[in-house]
Amino acid sequence: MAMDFRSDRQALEDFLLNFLEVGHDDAGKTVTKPKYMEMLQDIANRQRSTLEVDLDDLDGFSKDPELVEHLERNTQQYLVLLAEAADNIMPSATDENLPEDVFDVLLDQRRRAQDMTRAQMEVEGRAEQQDPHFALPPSLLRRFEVLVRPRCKATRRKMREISADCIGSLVSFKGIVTQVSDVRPLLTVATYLDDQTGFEIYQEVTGKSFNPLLEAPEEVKKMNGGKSELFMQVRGSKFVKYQECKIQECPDEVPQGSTPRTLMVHLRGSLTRSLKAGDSVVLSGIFLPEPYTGQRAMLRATLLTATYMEVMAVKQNKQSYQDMNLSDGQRAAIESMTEEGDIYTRLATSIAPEIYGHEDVKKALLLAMVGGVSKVLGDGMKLRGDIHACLMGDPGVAKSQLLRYVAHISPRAVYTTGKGSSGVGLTAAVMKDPTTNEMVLEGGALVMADKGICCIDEFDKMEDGDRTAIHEVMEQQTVSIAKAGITTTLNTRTTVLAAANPAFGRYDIRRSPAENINLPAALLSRFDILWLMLDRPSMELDLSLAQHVLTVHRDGRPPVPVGAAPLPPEMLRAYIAAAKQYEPYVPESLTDYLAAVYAEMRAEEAATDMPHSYTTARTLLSILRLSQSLARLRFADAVEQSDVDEALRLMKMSKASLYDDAGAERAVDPISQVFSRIRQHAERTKRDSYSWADLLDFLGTSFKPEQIRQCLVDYASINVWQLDGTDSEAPSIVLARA
Amino acid sequence: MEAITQPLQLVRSLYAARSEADGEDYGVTARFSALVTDPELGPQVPMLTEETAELLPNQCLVRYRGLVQDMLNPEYYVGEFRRPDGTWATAKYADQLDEALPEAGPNGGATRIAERRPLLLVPVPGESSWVAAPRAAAARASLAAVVAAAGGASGGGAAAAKRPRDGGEGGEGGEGAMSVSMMASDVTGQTTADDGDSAGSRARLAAGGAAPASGQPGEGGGSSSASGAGADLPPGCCMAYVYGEEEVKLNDVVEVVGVVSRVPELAAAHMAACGAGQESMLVDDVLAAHLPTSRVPRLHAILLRKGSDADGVTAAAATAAVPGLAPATVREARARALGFLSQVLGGDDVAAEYLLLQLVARVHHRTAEAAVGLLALNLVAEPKSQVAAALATAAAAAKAAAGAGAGAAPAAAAGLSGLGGALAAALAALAPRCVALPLSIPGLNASPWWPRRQPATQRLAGGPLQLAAGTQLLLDETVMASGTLSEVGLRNLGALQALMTRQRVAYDFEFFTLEQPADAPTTVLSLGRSLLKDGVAVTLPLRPTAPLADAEAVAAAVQGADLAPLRAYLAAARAADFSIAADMEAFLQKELAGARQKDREVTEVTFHTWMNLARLMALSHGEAALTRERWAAMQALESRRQQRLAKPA
Repeated sequence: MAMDFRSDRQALEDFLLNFLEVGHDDAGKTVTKPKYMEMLQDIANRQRSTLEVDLDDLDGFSKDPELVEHLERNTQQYLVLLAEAADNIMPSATDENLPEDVFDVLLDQRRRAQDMTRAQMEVEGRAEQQDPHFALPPSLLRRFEVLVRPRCKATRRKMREISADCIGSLVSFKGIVTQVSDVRPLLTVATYLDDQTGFEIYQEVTGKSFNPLLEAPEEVKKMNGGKSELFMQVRGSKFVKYQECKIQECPDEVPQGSTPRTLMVHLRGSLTRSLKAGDSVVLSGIFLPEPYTGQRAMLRATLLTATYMEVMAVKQNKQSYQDMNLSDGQRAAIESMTEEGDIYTRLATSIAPEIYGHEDVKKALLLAMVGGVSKVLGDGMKLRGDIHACLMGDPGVAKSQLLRYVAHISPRAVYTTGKGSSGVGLTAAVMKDPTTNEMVLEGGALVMADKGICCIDEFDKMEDGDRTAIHEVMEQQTVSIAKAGITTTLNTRTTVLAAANPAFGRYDIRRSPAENINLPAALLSRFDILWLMLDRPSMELDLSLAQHVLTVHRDGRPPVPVGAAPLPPEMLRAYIAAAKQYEPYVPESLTDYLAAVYAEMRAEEAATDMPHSYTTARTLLSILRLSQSLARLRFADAVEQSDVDEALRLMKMSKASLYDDAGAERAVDPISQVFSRIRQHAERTKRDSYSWADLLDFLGTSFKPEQIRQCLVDYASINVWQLDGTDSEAPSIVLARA
Repeated sequence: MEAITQPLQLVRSLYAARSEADGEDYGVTARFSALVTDPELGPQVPMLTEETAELLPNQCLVRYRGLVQDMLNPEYYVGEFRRPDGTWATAKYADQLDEALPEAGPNGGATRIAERRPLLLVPVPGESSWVAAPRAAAARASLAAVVAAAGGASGGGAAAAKRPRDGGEGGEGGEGAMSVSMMASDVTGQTTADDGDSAGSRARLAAGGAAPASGQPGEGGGSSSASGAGADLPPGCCMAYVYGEEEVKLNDVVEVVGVVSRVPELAAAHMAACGAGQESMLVDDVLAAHLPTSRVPRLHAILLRKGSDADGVTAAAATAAVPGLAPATVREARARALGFLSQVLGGDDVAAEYLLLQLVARVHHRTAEAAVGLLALNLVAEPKSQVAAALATAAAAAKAAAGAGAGAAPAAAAGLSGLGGALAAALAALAPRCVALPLSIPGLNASPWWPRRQPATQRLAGGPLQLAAGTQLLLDETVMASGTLSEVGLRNLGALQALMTRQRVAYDFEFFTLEQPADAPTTVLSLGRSLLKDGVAVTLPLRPTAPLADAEAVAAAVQGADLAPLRAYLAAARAADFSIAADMEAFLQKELAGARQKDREVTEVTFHTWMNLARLMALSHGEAALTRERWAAMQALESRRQQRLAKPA
C-alpha cells in the first residue's frame, strides 16, 4: 500500500514537472508551455494560492490509465500526494523582492529555534526527534491549496444517485444553493507553546473539531523535569477560510412523488463565498463521511454517519440564451429541420401542442420569444429589441395555458399574475432584512426576469403602483426605485407577455375596443402586438373541440396532432438560442416600403370612425422588431420584404377575430371599404385616375386583389367611375368629376 | 411471539446463518411476511399509534399505518461491523447496539457503511372514525399482549433489555432464544385467557412500571425541555427507515411493519443544541432529521406495503369490481345512499345526487393542465333564502354542532356551520377520508395551508392541503365574514383554487415549487357564489324541502343505520374503471358541438364538466361504460340545476 502511494507520488511529480499545455500565442502559432510548473512558479512568487489540477491533463499525460481512476475514487488521499509532490518540486521564487509577511517572520523564527534544539540535542547525544507533534508539519509551510477539476467525460450524477458507494470519491452534481453559512476560520494546524521550555508543538487538525493537547511530548517534558504546560498560540496557528452550504436538488431531477433532497457541502479557502443562496450550480467535490466527535459523540451511539461534500470546483449554471452552448447533435438536428422547410409553422405549433388551434397566436408568441435586435444609438438612447405581446380575450380561450407554456420552456422566465402574489410585486420593493436589520432591495418578477421573459397573467387586474412602473419597464427597460433612502435603477431587459380579460369579462362586439380593453392607451401602445382571442362560433371548430375533450376523457391525454410531430421543448429552446445569434439589420431598400406601409396604416385608422388599434410611431418599431425576429428565424442577416409582410399579416390577424365574426353587425364588407378608401384618397390628393399598380400599392396590404377588382367592377357598373385599359385582370379607373 | 418481542434477535440469527448467495436480505423479508400473514401470530403484532407509542416496549415489532408526509435525505449508518474476534455482525434495523462498537484495531473495528431512507409518516389526515376505530381497538388489544409478554414474563423490563447483550456476545447464543420462547408460550396462554379491555388496562399499568426500569432516563425529562423540536408535527407521527428498494411516493398511505426504537440520547442532544446556538449546519441538519423519540418514535421498517384506495372497506368488497356486485345490490345501495344524503340536505334530491357523484369521484387521468374524473361542487345557500336563514339561526348553535361534528369526523375542527358540520359528518360516514375546512378570514390568514419546506427544520410542514388520495374535501365558506385577507390568506385561496381545478398542490421548497398530484373531490358550501368560483365546475343552489339536518342528527342517523353496504358500494364504484365506446364517442361529439352551436356559453369547460358528470353518473350506477341513457340522465340533472340557477328563489 505504502509502496503504491510512493510510486504514485512519483508519477504525480513527473506530471507536474513535465506536463506541457498546448496553446496558441497571439500570432496564432501553436506553443507549448509547462502549465503546472508555471503555476507553481506563481505560487512561489506568491501571486497565486491554488494549484488547480485538471484531471483531463493528467488523464492525457499519465501512462498509467488507472492513476486517474484511483485519484477519482480516493481523492482525499491523492490530494495529499499532489500537495507533497508539489512541495518536492516547488521552484524557488524568481521574484527577489517578496515582501516579508508575518508568516515569514514566524517561519524564520521557527526554523532557527528548531535548528538550535537540534544542535543542542546532538550535543547531548540524543537521537533525532520523531514525535510528529514536534516536527514542523508541511501543511504549516504550504502557501497553496490543491484543487482538482473533474474530467470532462466524467459522468455528472444526479444528486439522488449519490449513495454510500460514492464515499471518498470525486462526484459532480447539479443543485440549487439554499443556505449559506458565514465564512469562519477553521483551524488546520494548532501551534502550542510550552511555557517551561519555550518549545513550539504542532498539531495537525483534519476534522472540524479536535482535542487540544494538554501536555508536551515526553522528550520535552523530560527536559524540564517532567513538567509541561501548553498554551495554544492563535497567532502561530494556521487557519483556513471555511464555509458550509446546503444544496437542494434541482426541480427537474426530482422524480414525481418525491421531495427534493439536500446535501451539505463544505467550501474552503479560495472557494468560500463562491456560492450564494439561490444559485443554480454544478459542483464537483469529494463525498466524505464525517464521524461524530466531541459533543456530537452522543449521536454516535445511533450508528449514524453524517456525510458532506468537500467542494473542489464550482460552476455556475447559466440560464440565459446567450450562454447556452448547443451540442453538436442539436446543431445537426437544427440543420436537418431547416432543410425540411416551413420551420416557422412547425416551431409555432410546437408551442403548447396540447392547445388546439391558435396557430397565429403561437406564431406571435414564438416571435416574442425570439425577439428583435436591441440597439444603442449614438446619443446613448436605447431601442429595445424585446417584443411585448398581450393576449386579450374571452375567458377560457387558453390564454393562461399559452403563457404558462412559454414560461415553462423559456430558460429564464417568471410567471406571475398581475395581482402579484408576493409583497415585492412586479417591480421591486425595499424590505427590511430580518437578520441584519438593514434595508435591502428585493427584485420583483420583472427584475428577476431580466434578459428573459416575464409572463403576467391577469394584466388588467394589476395594482396601480405596478401599472405606473410598468410603463418605464416596457419602454426604457429599467425600474427606478426611490424608497427608504435607496435610490437606484434596476435593469429589466425583459420581454413582457401579458394576458388580460376584456373589461366586461367577455368581449362585447357592440362596444368600441377602447371600452372593451380595460387598459390605458399609453400602456397598450407599448405592446408590440395585442392579440384579441375571441370565441367565435363555427361548427367545424366546435366539433374538433368536442373531439379534443372526448379524447382527453377517454385516453387521459390530448389527441396527437396531425402533421409533423411537435418539437420537444429542448429542441425549441435550442433553435431559439441559435436564432438569437443573428442580428439582422433593415436594408436601405426597405425603408420606402416601410414608410408607405406606415402611412397606409395611419390613413386606414383615420378613416374608420372606431379604430381597433392605436397606430403610433411605436407601431412602426413594432413592425421592425417582428420583421427582425422573423429574419432571425430564417437565420438571415438582413430583413426582407417577406418578413415585413408576415409581420403585417400577424398584426392584422391579431384583430382578425373582431372582423370575420359571422353574426357581427359591425362587419363591413371589404368592397365598400375599398370604395371608401379610394374615395377618401382621391379627395385628399385630388387625383382623378388610378392605375392598377397604384391601387395595389396602397390597398394591397389590407385587401385581396380580387376584392379590389370586384370593387372596381361593381362601382363602374353604377357609373361612379369608368374602367380604363384593356386588361380586365388589372384594370385602371378614371373617376367621374364631381 | 419472540419474533414480535425480540425481532432483532431473529434478524441477527438470520444474519449469522446467512450464506454468500443471500445478499442484503438473508431471508428477513420472507420470515417476517410469513409472521404477519400468519393467522394466529399476525394479529398479535402490536399497532403503533399515538396512544400506544409510550407503552410499547423498546425494540419490539410493531405495525404502523400512515401517510408519507416527507422524505428526508438518505442516511448512512454503520450497517455491519467486525467484532474483535473477527466475526461480522449486523446493525440493521437498530439505532443502538447492545455492545459498544469496537474501536478500530488490527482485528475488529472494520465497518461497512449502508444506506437507508427515512420517511416521516403521520396518521392519515381526515380518516373517518369508522375506519380508524376498529384499528384503534385492535391496537389496544394487541398492546396488551405484547406489554404483558415483555414486561410480565421476566418480571421487569430491565432484565429483558439486558438479555440481548448477553446473547449478543456469545454469537447469538441459542440459550437466550430458548428462554424467550419459553416465556412466550407462558404469556400467550395468559392473554388468550383475558378479555381485551381488562388486559389493556393491566398492560398499561405494567408498562407504566416497566418503562422507567427499562433504562430510559432522560427521556422523560428531555421531552419537556426539548419540546421545541418536532412541535410542528401532529401527534402519532413516526419516522420510518426504509432499508430496501421499495418505491414510495409522497402522500402514499403505507403500512409498515418494523422495529420500534427509542433513543433517549436524542432528546439530550436536542436539549444541548438548544443552549448552544448554531454551531454547524451539519449538526443542525442531523438533529432536524432525528427528533426526540418521545415525540416521534423511530421505526425501522422490515416490511412496507402501500395501502389501497379501498382502505377500511372489507377486503372482499374492495376486490370485487362494481359489476361484481349484483345490479340489484347496486340499485338498492345507491337508493339508500341518495336517501341518506337527501335527508342530510333537507330533502334536496338534486343536491343529494350531485353529492353522491362526489363520493364516487377520483382522478382517472391526468393531463398537463387538468385532472379527468372529478370536479369541484359548490353548494350554494342563496342569500335571503330559507337555507340562509336556517344557517343564520343555526349560527348560535354552530359551536355546539361543530363540537359534535368534531366528534364524528376528527379533522373537522370547530368553526364549521351547522350544515357544514352535518355535511362533514355525512361525508365522513360514507367515505374513508374526509377533511372539512372552515374558510374564515382569521383561519385563512393564520398560517399557510399549502405544504412547504421550512428552512428552520428542513422538513416539510404539511398544512391542511397535504392529503392522501381519495380524501373528500369540504370547504365551509358560510362562516366567512368581511375582513382583510393577508398575503398568506390569498395564497391559501390560490392553492385551493389550483387543487380544485387541476388537482395539484404546489409544494413550496424555498427556491422553487414542485407540484404534487392530489386526488381530493372538493365540495364548497357557501352563501351566494363561492369566493373560489373560478375553481368550481358545478354550482348548485340548495332548495331543501325539509329542515336541514345538523351534525348531531347525522351522527344519530349514522348510529342507527348499517352503512357498511353503502361504503362497500361506494368504494367499489370509486375503484371501477371506465371506458367510452367508439359509437358513443361519435354520438357525444355531435351532442357537444350541437350544444355549443345552440348556446355560446357552452365552452370547453362545460364539455369537461358534462363528461365528468356523465362518467360519475355511469359509475354510480355500477356501469363501467357510458351509455346514452346515462348521458340523458346527466343532461336532465344538469337542466334541473340550470333552472335553479336561472331564477333565484
